[in-house]
Amino acid sequence: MADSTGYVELHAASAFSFLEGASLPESLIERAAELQMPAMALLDRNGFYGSARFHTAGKKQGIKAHIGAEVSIGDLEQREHAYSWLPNQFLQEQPRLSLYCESREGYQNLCQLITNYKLREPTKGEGKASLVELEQYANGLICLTGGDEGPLASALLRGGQEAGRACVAKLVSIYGSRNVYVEIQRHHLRDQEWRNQACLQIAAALHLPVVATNGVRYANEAERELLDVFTTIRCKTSLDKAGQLLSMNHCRCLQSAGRMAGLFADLPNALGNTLEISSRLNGFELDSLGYEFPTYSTPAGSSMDEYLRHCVSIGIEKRYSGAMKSSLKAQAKAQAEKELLLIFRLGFSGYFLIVQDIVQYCQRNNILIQGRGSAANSVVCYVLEITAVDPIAMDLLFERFLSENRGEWPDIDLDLPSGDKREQVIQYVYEKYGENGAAMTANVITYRGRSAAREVGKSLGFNEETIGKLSGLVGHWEWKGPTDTIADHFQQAGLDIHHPRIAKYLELTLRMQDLPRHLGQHSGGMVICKGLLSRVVPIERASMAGRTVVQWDKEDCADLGLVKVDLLGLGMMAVLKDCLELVPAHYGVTEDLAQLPEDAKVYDTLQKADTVGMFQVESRAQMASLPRNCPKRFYDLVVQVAIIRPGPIVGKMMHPYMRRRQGKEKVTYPHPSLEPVLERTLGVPLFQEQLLRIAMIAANFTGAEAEELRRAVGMRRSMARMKELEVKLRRGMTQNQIETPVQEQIIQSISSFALYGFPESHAASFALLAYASAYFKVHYLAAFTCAILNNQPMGFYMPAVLVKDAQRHGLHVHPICIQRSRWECRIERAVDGTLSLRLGLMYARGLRQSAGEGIVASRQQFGAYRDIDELVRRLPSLSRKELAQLARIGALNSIATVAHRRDALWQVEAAGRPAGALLDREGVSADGEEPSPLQQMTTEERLVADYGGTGLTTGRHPMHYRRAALRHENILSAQELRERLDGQPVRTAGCVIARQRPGTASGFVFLSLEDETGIANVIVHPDLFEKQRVLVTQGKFLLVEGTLQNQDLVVHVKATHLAPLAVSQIEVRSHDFH
Amino acid sequence: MTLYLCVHIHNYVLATVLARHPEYQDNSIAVMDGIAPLEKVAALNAQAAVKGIYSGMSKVEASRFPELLCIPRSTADETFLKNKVLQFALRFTPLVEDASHADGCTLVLDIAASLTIFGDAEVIGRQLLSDLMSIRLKANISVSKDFHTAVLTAQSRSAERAYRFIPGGMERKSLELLPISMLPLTEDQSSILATWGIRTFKEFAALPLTDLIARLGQPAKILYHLARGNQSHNFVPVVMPSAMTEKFDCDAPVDSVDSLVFLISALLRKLVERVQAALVLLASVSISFGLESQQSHSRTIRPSLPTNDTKIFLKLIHLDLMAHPPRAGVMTISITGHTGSSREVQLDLYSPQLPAAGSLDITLARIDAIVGEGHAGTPQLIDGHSQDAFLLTRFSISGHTPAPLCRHTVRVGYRRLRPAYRIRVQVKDDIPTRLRTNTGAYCIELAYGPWIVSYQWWSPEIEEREDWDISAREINTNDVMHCCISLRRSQRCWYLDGIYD
Repeated sequence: MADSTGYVELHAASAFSFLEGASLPESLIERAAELQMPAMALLDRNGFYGSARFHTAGKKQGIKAHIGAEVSIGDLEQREHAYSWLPNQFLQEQPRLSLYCESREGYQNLCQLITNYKLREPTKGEGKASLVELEQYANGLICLTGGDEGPLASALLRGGQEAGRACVAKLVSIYGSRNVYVEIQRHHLRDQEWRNQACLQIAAALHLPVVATNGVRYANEAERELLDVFTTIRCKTSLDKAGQLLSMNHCRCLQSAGRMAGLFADLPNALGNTLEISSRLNGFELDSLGYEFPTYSTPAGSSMDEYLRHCVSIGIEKRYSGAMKSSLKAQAKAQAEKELLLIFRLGFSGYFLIVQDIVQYCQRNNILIQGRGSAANSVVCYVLEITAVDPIAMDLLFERFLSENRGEWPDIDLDLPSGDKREQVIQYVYEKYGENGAAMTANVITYRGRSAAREVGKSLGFNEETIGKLSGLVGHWEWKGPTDTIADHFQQAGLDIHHPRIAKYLELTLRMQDLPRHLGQHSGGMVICKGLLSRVVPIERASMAGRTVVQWDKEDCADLGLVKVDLLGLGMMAVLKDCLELVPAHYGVTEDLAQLPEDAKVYDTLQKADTVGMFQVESRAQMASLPRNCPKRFYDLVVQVAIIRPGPIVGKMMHPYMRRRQGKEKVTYPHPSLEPVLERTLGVPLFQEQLLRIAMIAANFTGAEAEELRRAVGMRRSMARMKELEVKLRRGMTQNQIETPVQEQIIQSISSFALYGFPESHAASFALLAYASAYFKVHYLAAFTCAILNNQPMGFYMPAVLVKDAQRHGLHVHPICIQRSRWECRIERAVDGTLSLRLGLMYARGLRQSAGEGIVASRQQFGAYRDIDELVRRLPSLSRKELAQLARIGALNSIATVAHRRDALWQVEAAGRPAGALLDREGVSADGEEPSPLQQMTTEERLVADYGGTGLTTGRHPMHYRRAALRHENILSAQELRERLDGQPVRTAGCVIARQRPGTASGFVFLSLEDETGIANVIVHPDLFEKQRVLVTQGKFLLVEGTLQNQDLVVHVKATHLAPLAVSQIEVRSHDFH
Repeated sequence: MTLYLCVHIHNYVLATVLARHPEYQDNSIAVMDGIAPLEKVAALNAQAAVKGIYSGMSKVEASRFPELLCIPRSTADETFLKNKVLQFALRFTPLVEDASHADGCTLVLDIAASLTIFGDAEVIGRQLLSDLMSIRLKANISVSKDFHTAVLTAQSRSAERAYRFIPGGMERKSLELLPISMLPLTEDQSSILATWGIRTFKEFAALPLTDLIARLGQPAKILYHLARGNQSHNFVPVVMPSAMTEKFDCDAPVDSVDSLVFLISALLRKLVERVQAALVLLASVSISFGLESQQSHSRTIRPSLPTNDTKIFLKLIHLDLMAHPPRAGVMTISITGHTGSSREVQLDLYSPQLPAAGSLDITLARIDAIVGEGHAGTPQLIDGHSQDAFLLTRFSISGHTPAPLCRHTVRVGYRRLRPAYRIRVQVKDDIPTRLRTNTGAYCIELAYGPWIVSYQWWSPEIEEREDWDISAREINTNDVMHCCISLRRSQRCWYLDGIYD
């Protein structure tokens, strides 16, 4: 501990100065609190990346968080380093000026300045400001001359005191003498002290104040090691080779006021000035950003509230006009009025109108869009067509979405078809609000087990083989068992963790966890702003062309009150959109997603868990519960979507519900008054909305209070507030004459499922998509399969499984054919009118899209390919490897001159090597060519080629060829397992298509084995997993012995023994949920 | 007429270990290679493979198998035994080619001419096998008119017999069953042949040559002929380094270095005459003394460039013996010359005239004799924070132009003391106030620092020190000294590191 207030650290960089700082902003604040520092400033490189977290952490610890940034200056010469003769040199970069925000104007200026030069870069990059820009955005900023990275240090090295003085004079001309401080740092380095003496002379000559900082790069001395590792990563070298690139000592940590007083005993004013600057910087905090959500431009004369009311009334007429809905209209109007009053009171009209505008844009452009999440509780959202679930018909609770006490903006997530259509909507938002008015939220990519092990390994000079082996072993199972620590992975990789160098490797890998690596972009969160967003937070280019990101992630944005709209890509939306186009084109009927009928055949399929490819209900766990839940109506599907989640499983809600559903357990209610609330879920609370209603009915809570209770329990933020609410809850229940034991039961119930419950509205939105996907699969299998194959990767299963499932359901799937395939998969109609599926060229691995589209275009223009030489002549851009791949997968077999795949391979190897201009004419090069001497591929070779070249086969399943032998060994197929009795010892075998080790399953591993008859599920006990870890995680074909569990039409094999099965050399890819 | 005999030792790394340690024959053995902590299995026997050990497995993993014997790899043993095999081979013919891959041992003997001496190829083969058995090495021998056929059949794992003779015209037949992977294929060629379904030499050799070349290019022609056993080969015999030895037995023990040099000079002149007669140069000279104490004493003199100048050799030998004299009276002297070829260095026309290599060697040897071996040479800076981070390398002629001096020229002269001089320092309030050396006591008048340096925190050589630049006055003489002292934290000792001029 130190004496408290004599010093404020004004120059600290966090790990958000990517690879130039080694501590998180929270760690810096924590250390500052330990040192009893009243305030501190964070200056990250070229941005405010860590500022939001620094500010939030500062608030918690009662430390003033001053905001600033180190800004790269382009008009000065490149940063000079003292030892230009050394073999290792720092990266070439510009000097960086330390700027601090004295006022909101200063903050906005700094944001705009950074945005300007960041956006000037053609791609994601650091950028640099010009001196003219510095002058333009100088107001409200205080400038320090900086440490090693600063312009003064560079000038002194380059031209001595004269250049240094000129540099400082330039800064004074830009920021004014009152706002420029000459910075002194003391890290016990000779060179630095030489610079300090020069700085002092310059300060004296120009009558400028001197200020002491410690140029902090890490919170504690020990973190210097991480900074050195980061330096090696940055300079692409290793610790042994980095030499003087590494820091000379560990003095750039946060120091106490006492220690700094000792260091600057000869310059007491330098310390005093830190307090002066800090007091000047007190005028601005990140709380007062000046952010405003954009206003919506309404038709002339009407306010946003009036216009929203108008839109809602039109929407009610539209949504509730049908015969089935008209009975709900009055109720909808009343609810809408209630919602509108709250929306007006909270000032959120513009938000709803803007989201509606995005929805309308999608409708105009034929883009599927659907709101998800708690927004589906709102009738306003429903009638504005933001969501598709009718909250009146489903009796959903609005307060879960919006309440007065919540103090937050509503959160509306919009699902869009992933891919081009979603990009189109994002670009619409950019266009509408301008490059400086909208941007994606960032996603901070942090070092995790694998990446940390890789980088530290390289830094410590370990060879690539060791690093690769280690990173390959860092598992990503959701379940982390006692043998899944990083130390275990080191040992499994054959490293001796007791060896000092390995121990250091392990230690650094662990310490590096969760430190920022770089900034990515969030999957769909967009921030929009009234006026310039670039004056609220710096905006920079994302790696993806046409995208920009703000420098904060979604939590930072939420903490600082920035409103985002989530435009999320959903693969199934793209599938449904494709289905809506394919069905009329090939089946001659038009389907409307909003009007899909309740269909017995669909429910029958769901009850049998025949759900491969269907949205949200296709996983192994969903399949295992579907026969028990036995959905018969839409609401059953809502429950189904919600119940197979970690929450209900951990909250022990799943099994009671299933037992009651099957009539094995009596339906009871904690109190008769709660029967209306819990009736739909058979007395088992499943949804968050039910929690709210229980509190409202049992304890007379208002909707807002009930929502507050949910959030208080769910987040455990304020124990005091939770206690207050619990007292109120008990009081209300007592008033309603609910007995004490029942009160306890209700409170216990609320406490447990508030943590794990699922929003009913969200489940309903997803259930709509689940039903639609089931409907299309059951009625339009060709269209559905075509659409889902064209939108991979998505869902639980690999394309190979989807194709095999479609084939088992009677769909004929044709292989890739150069004469018939398009880039995407397509539907073909046979002469007898039956529909079949043709695989697209997109499934030929290694074939470029441009090449594939070229094949199709040329075919459409000039007709079918007559021979391989012609193919090569017509498409000279096709590489030899691409031609060989097409030949290998049989795509060239339909060419008249090709006898079989190897014949094609023989021909393309010659055709793919042009003979030169003289012979390269039609008919010349083929002359004299003998027939192919190569043997036709065997079945096994064809399978290997199919899986290697396309990831799937349209022929028979590999297990089919082993069936006779397997039967001889009494090994059952997936179909045969279903016919056996529960408890029987069985043997089965198949190709592993999915592996799961769910976090809720206590270390059990679930394997899905596929054969030609279907999918079998295998349960692997943790002990067996530990014994046969490699086989379970890497085996392609497995033989399983165990006990059959066949209950309620749900079939599993509880494995007692596993063995590899030699079926084929094919490279099957499983979907592993690590 | 040609006839090639190929000797191939399978799993040579393991074979050398078993040759050294036949008692391990029945154990599970893994030969470990690499530097701690990253030692890996480089070779293993069948018993180890059955237990689940594999090549590339780390030592830690391998140590989990308690019955496994982990033996460190010895490249010296491998080289020694290979030389032995070569010696055996050279007894039958001077035409021996080394066709070994990285860690293997494959020698090919051109025995066409040897047949007239030894009679039959099988006699040579059987004798070689017997010779190899004497040093506990098992080999496969294959004899063919085609060089590559001999090599490939000997290297083939399927070789059932230790000795195999392939009659002329049967080369292709003998290769038929070999896997295609035994051909020197590129990755691309392997991939293409795999997709074609070509797995054996037979299948490959059956392909039409012209069409094959049209698809795989000209390199396919070589592969094709290799597979058919008719690829021509330019035989490159191993050139054995020639060594010539002269000996002298003394009547009485010789103790004086000058006397030894006198005796050596006579031997050396004879040696040089023989070397000159062979039109080669002496690259090094090894002198071995048999001592009165029944021990031996050996020295090797290696000038920078091969030479036949006896004066240079004698001077170098003299200087070396002065530094490393025999510890007892010398009874026998044996001097062996190792020959080497003369290398000519083309220097820049405008480069400054360099001293003659011989004179330079003598000068350097003289310096070495004064300062001790390894204490003279070209200092090479090691980039780092360590004060002693430099290497001494042998003086060599450098072609590159030195970098221009940086503009931040050092303004203060500084003499580093190597090694640093230990001193005693008195400290008050963490600041040094007085220091004492063996020669005097000083009062520190000015002290700047501490300059804190800590480096190599990731290795055992971690070091932390605090440097101080001080101005000190000798208490008795009033002499002022400006110097740098340092406190080495690991030793808790103060050192005088250098003096400012």
